[in-house]
Amino acid sequence: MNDRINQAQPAIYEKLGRDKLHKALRQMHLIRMFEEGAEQAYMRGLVHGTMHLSIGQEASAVGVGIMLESGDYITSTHRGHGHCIAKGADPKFMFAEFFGKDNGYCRGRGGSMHIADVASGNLGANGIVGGGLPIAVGAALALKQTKKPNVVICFFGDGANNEGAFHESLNMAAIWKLPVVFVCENNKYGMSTSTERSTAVKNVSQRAQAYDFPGVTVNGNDFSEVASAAGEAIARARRGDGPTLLECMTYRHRGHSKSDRNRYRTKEEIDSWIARDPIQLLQANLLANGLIEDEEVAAMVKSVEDEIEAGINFAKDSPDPKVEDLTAFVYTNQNSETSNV
Amino acid sequence: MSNEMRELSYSQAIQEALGLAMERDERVFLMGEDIGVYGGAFQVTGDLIHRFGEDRVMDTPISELAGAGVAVGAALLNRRPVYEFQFSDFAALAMEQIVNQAAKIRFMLGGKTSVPLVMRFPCGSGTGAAAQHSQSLESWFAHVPGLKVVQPSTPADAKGMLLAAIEDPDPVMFFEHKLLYKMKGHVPEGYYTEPLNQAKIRRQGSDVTIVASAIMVHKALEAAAIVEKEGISVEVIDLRSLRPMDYSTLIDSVCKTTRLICVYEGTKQFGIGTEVAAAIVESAAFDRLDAPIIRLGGADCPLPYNPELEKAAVPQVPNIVEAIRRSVKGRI
Amino acid sequence: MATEVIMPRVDMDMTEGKIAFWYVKNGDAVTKGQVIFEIETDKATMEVDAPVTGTIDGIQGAVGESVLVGTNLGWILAAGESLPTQTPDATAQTTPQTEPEKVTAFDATPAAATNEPAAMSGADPSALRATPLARSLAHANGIDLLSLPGSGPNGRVQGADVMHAVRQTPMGGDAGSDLHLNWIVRAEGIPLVLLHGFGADQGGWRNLAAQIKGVAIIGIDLPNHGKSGSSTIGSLDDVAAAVVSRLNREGVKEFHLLGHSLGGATALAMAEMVSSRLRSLTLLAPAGLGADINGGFIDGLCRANSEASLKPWLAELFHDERLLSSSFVATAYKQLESVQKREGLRAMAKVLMPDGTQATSKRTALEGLAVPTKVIWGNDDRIIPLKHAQGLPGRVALHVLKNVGHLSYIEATDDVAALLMEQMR
Repeated sequence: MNDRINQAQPAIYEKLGRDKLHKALRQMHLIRMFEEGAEQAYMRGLVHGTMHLSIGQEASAVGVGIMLESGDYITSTHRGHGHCIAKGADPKFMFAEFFGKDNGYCRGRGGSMHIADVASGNLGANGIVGGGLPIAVGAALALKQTKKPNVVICFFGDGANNEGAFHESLNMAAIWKLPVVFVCENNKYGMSTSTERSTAVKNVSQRAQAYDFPGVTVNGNDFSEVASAAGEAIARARRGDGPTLLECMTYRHRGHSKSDRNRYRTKEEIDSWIARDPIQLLQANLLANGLIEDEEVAAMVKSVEDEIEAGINFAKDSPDPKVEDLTAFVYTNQNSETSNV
Repeated sequence: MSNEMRELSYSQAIQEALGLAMERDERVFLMGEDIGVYGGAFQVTGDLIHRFGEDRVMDTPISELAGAGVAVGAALLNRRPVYEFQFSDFAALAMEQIVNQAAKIRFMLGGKTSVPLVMRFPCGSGTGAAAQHSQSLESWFAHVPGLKVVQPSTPADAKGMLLAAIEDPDPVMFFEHKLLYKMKGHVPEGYYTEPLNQAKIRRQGSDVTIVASAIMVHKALEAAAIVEKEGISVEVIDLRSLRPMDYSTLIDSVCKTTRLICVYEGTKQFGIGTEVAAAIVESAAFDRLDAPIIRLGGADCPLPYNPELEKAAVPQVPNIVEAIRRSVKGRI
Repeated sequence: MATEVIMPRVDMDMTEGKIAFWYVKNGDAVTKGQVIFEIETDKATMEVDAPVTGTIDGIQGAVGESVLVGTNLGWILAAGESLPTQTPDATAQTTPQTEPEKVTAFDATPAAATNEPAAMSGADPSALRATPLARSLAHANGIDLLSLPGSGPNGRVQGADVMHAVRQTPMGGDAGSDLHLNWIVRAEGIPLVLLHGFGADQGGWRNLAAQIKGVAIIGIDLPNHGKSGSSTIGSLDDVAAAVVSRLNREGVKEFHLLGHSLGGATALAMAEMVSSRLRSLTLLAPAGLGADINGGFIDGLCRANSEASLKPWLAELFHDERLLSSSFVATAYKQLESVQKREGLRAMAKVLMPDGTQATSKRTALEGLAVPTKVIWGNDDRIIPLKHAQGLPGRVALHVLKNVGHLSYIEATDDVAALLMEQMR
């Protein structure tokens, strides 16, 4: 992995084109500011529960997301705000959900860990580590059964790669050659336990060998590396050649959740990664290659700030769900299924 | 459509339902261990693979957790998977996907999607399969909002309720007692559904109500025939569905008979009868109770291997007869 | 050593199998793994192979015969071996189903070593034990649970015990209604029920009753009057309910009703409650049609400590004082003899006629009444004024008797009897 800013233009830039590159950069800014906005709101007591921020991991979310088509699907994790935005989610409805409002993505019933928008291909963040893997495989099976040319991106973290569900899912995807790309965002820690202490192999991607399909490790903070590898894996899946395990080495700036005291990692480590900020890397690269101007960057950042501020205000003004609706949405034909005595 | 009745076994009725569902709706497909050319551990899927091919009758690896999750994912994309567990006991391996995912996704997403899957569970004791292959775990699932849990006791109901379950937009846990597989009964031809929220009165009576499910329905009916000779009139209700439970039929019956016995194979404590008893006491039927409610449920131990112990571990006909006598004669 | 050939168990729940085909006969050489016979089970046909190499002999079990799992079907002998002389009993690998099933403890009391609560434990031995059904039946029928023997365990009162008690008392009346009821005249047909006024009792109807022909006549003592017990009366409706209850217990369904004064107000209240059971309604100077009542009279009645202090008040009842006989006074005074009686009357008066005012109006009871209704009033009634009879519904017949006071049934017995007979035609 090469962390030095690479000023040469990666091949993927040509494939994507200027517009998509701008879109990618904006999305990464949007994710970052969304996370920071959410953090601020949380500290002000506007958000119930906790949240798992993906600050520092923007490149893996966007690098994969930018390579998708509208009919493709994703499953995500408890650290899934970035994935959701990369799949096209609107921050204001995400904020509304965090504030528990009735017009949030999940009508206030799911919260941060369960953000989803099935209609647009986001099968949801998942509160269970490894919970999304079998579901992603099932969605891929459905795509194959219906002969659609689409794929499923299954995001998960390094912690999930030791769950039984991980192994069962990769095996099933392999034997049935399903159109799913397993994207592991390896940020070196499953909560407080480092991968060195928890995982028998050095790289998660090695595990693909056990299931006889390609495993690739990339610099997860380098947008172009991620996008390039993702593009190949997605194409492979679309062709019908089966799954790939794509490991993005990255880092989360913040703790696991809002209650994390970062006792398990050093300040030096955190700072060294902050210095390799993926947004700054991409932005500097685009500037250096004349693919964006300073004024455009400034305007982009401002528009993102505005969008986030408007989103938070929208959420604050949104209505709360009604208590009378407590047991709504449990069953599809609710009235005929009332089970109450 | 012909309404002719003919005799089919419970497992044949299920096979017929699966075939009809797959003919009618190309989204329906089966998954499970050894359901293909082997025909299923209990020969339920039989020759379906020859009719529908291996893409629709899929053998899975021994991976219950992923298997259940694949069903969830496929259902989210509007397929209609029917996932067969080889033994209900193996549900323990898949609880994460059943309880945390299938049951809750609709709710957590504010009602914006559904999970239209069916999971089938051969369950129950009496075959000497011992503790890890004989359990009745329906109560576990009936405790989870978001799931539907059904337990038909006759071939005709097995077919109709399975077809209804496959049509249902929500996740349905379908429990099949192993000892019922060979039981024969009249089964209408053609496609029909039975409601998933209605109990059925199998025998009308006036002295005591027995609420039972699965194989216990048949034991209760046997017991009722025995005590009829003593002048005791027993009403036997087949629950058919645990969630949603048809409370109003139960309440009406107990209001009429004034006595209640619950018979179920699952462990007595925290089991089906516990829910029925509590619901009756909370209802208008409370003021009509003329005797304590009796729960006959599974013994407080894992299912034993020895055949006598195995029988002693679940309610049998003599136990039911004795309970009826004590309840009706006012001796409890 | 000879190796046994048995009916094998091939399915988890298989108990017997049918032999479908023998591939070998006695004396044939067989090798280990060679198919020697076929069996039919519920599921499918299964081939069974030889467990060892040798010579097969002693074959039992015909084709088509169903045998229990584990049954001996033959032997495979090594060289030089002979058939065992004793064929062992079927080494049953499964228990035959004919064994009687033991009844195990599946009752409400827990098996040992469980932490289930013992059913029905912790009951206070002195507390009433009654099933919910018994309680609700007792409440509905006015039966006192504490007075019932219980046929259930530990003396628990059950539904049957209550229904037994209900059947003993006809028409199951209100337990609190121990009103005295007298069949003044027993006869066939729908009876006439007479309700007296305040401070009187059913004994006063004797003369009137003597003039009524061919009708069963019932006199009832209102609460706190005559031979009826004392009870706390909260309202006119309480009085009416008590009378209805008593009639129910007596098995009286339909009846003609006559009420005088307070009994008249009671009759009006009953008309509201059980109008479908009335055949006719006759009111003699009834209370309940207005506010006025001679409070002095009421108070005087309640206060009188001797016949002497009672007599002047009783005189108020008559147009012609000379009709006030000493026996009348004596009888009236007897009503007040017991302190308890007097207190009961006082309390009743306080509730129904406080401060010289009638507390309740029952005028509306007359509206829409479909039965023949007569109101009979003396024009010299100084207890409840005649003017209360004004403005009654048109279908109500009003009879004003000249030179009659409050007790028309004494001062104009013939007229009242004649009018009554008209009602009961």
